[in-house]
Amino acid sequence: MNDDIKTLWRNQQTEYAPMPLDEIRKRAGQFHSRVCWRNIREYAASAFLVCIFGFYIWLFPAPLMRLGSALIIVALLYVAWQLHRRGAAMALPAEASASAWTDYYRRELVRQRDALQSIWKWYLGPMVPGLVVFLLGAALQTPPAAHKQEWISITITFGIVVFGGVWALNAWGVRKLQRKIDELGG
Amino acid sequence: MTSANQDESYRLAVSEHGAALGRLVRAYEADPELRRDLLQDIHIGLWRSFAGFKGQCSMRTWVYRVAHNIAASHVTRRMRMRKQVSLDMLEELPDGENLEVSTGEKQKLEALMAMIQTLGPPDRQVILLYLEDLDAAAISEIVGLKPGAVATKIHRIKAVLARRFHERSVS
Repeated sequence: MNDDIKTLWRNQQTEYAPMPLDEIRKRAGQFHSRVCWRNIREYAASAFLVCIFGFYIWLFPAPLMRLGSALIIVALLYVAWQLHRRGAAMALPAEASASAWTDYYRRELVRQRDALQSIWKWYLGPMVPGLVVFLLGAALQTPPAAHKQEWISITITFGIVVFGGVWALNAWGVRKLQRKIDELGG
Repeated sequence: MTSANQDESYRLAVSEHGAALGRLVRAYEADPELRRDLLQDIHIGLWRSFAGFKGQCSMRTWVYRVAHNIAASHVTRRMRMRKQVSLDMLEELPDGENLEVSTGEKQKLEALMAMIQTLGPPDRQVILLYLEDLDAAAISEIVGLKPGAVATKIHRIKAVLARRFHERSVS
């Protein structure tokens, strides 16, 4: 009886004609272009921010804000270099898609987990010193002298909440991915 | 592999397995527009993958692996919010009013499709490959599960299909 179901399945009409080979090549090329454009956008965003913080060094007289801006520029350049270095590892190679599903899925999950786990080392972490110094400089500089203590507290609390929140989300994501990897027995 | 070989392998793969790819995307994506996109992604992925094809396995295994991996990734992205069930749960579920399949092949096919679309990988892969008439060893090679595990899943699939489709057809 299951043979009837198999026959029914295999005799069903499918609605799409195969794509011509030229079209396949064109679209595969577009995929590479998309990856290139994504990299260009990220480099452009880094260059834009380097310009902004370079302008801040010239604009702000407060030494802490200038030092913070310089540290952020260094961090941005480091992140751009890391993006360039890691670009090749962002996606699995084409032939990897021909692995058995469990292997393919495990590799994909491990890749995502490792990317999430290491994002603090090469993306968020390097930004922290510059941002902390810059915000402290801004807090010391702008408000009236009587409220400096409060502004510093607010700045520190804000930084802890934002970066702590990102850390917690990351840790949750890593745990979730690890559970899936464990379920696959890897 | 040279570019000409890559093209030739792709052509051969599509001529032999193109229809199966069409059936596969129907089982993975209900939305016609997204289905078309998924099929295109599979064709592009298949063509790209043939650059690394050196006869590591049969062409059929290679084609099904690429297609199922791309489709399963698509489902994972699309269906994070939608509940999926396992074959075990399917065995325990009541037949349900959407599986009134005793009237005609079209409805039977629709009911089968609806049932398959509730399954998560790898159960969905196993049932689709079973319906394509592959044996447990071939399915095991494609999905990466042990042959024993595949055999168990096929046993359950047979039971579910018999209960849902045969008994109603007879009655």
